Amino acid sequence: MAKELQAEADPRPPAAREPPLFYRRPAALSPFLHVEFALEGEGDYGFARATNSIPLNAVEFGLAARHYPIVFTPGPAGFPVAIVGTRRDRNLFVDAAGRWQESVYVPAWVRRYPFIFLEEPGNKDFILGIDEAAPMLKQGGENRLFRSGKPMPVLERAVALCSEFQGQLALTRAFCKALEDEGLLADKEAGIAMKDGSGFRLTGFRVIDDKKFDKLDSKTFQRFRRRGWLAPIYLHLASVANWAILVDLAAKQGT
Amino acid sequence: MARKGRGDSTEAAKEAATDNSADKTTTGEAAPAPGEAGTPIGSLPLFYKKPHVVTVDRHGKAGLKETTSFAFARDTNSVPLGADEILVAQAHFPIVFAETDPPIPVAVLGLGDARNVFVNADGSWRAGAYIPAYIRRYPFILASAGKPGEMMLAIDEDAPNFVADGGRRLFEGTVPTPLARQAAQFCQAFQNQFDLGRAFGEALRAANVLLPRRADVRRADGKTISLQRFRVIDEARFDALPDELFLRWRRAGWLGLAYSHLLSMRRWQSFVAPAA
Repeated sequence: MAKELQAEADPRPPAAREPPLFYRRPAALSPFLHVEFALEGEGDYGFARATNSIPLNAVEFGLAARHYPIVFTPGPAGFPVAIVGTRRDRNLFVDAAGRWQESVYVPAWVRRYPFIFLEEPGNKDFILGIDEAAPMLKQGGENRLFRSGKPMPVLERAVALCSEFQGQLALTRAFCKALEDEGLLADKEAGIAMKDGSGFRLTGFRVIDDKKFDKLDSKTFQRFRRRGWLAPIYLHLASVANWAILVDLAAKQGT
Repeated sequence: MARKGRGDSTEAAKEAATDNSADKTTTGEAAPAPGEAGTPIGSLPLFYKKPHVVTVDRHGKAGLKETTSFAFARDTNSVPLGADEILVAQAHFPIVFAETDPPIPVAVLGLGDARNVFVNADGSWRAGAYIPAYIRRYPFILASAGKPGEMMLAIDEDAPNFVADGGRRLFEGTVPTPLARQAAQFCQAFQNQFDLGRAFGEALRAANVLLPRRADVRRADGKTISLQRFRVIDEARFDALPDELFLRWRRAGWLGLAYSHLLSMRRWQSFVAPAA
């Protein structure tokens, strides 16, 4: 039963589990249940327009740091997110037509939608799922998910994307756990005054406390080095410069 | 023999090949980065054709026309980066080290016979792409004034937006205008970061982690475009750095720069395809 499945890809702790961001009705894909389903309107990111933060895997920090402030969600199991807006319900990088701003990195979390890996109790393999409520999912149409009961290439690509994502998710969780264990994450808020006298304040997120990071003992630092965690830390710290990009965008869009 | 990139439009930064004379390959060289600090006027840095120390006698009426054109930067395929730019620039350009002494970090802006691909036909800078401080400060620059360690604001009198009389002036009477003062501050800040970048390059060289490379990128039409005569950090050597040296680099602030440089090796692809 689809209802017993949990979206393992959700970085939040089990207690906080509700469907993951963007997914309203994730269900295991089945050639019987979804025989008529087709995908339409690829490249339409309208589904991602009503949020101001998107989960990021550590491997994405390099490209994400080009435009987004990268922060961590509140504890005890924080996860990295890209801040994409100054207001709670508005992604400044997606326009009214659903287009992501040109030459801006689109996080993997967004690119894999509407697909997702699901976990079945007692089964260690993941199952490919789909958000049955996804706006790009149609009954009947050209780009079918199955033909004659066989999965189409679109599903092979989805499996590849979700597998890659799942692997990176595990690495990112280990990274975040180390940050938690070393007490490196500190509550932060961003308050920015706009030129026109308005302003915004974002709260409820954490960043690496650079003073604590500077004091991290050498042995732990070397362990972080071996695990490949130093690069994402430096990129995260540098990404604070990107608040200015959000302020500019918010001013331009009058939000 | 020029080596080809691995597979279709995959980038491959490879060890230096001595011969680059294959027909289908066009090759550029990372522009020799100009000696900066203490460079006397006379050995002209990139872009600057007629730099002159700014004085009220000479520039009392001089000014700048408003411009958004970066056409002056069209013909270069690389510019030096300040240390504080490297973390941002890694998301936009490959960052390599010029074969200078010491090796200094430069942003790669073009490959093969393409010069600076970030300058559009109308002279504007590619939307959303980072503009290096080296380019933003133009037509201003710091020049050594004769006395050791003393630097003065200079301006390229051959700059397209320079006017001998008019524009946004450099002086109000005999007093430097905010434009001139901000230019001096900006140039000084860049100079400090440039010096830090050079110290970073020196540290890398001293630790023997820089190796000569060339980049070959296969375009959709099958042509290979290349860049040679530059150095990059060899990842295996970097990973093998002794703990003690690594911790010294941590304190010196070099690690974030080193990781950014290594990450920037993923940006060669941007010369054949838009950024992911």
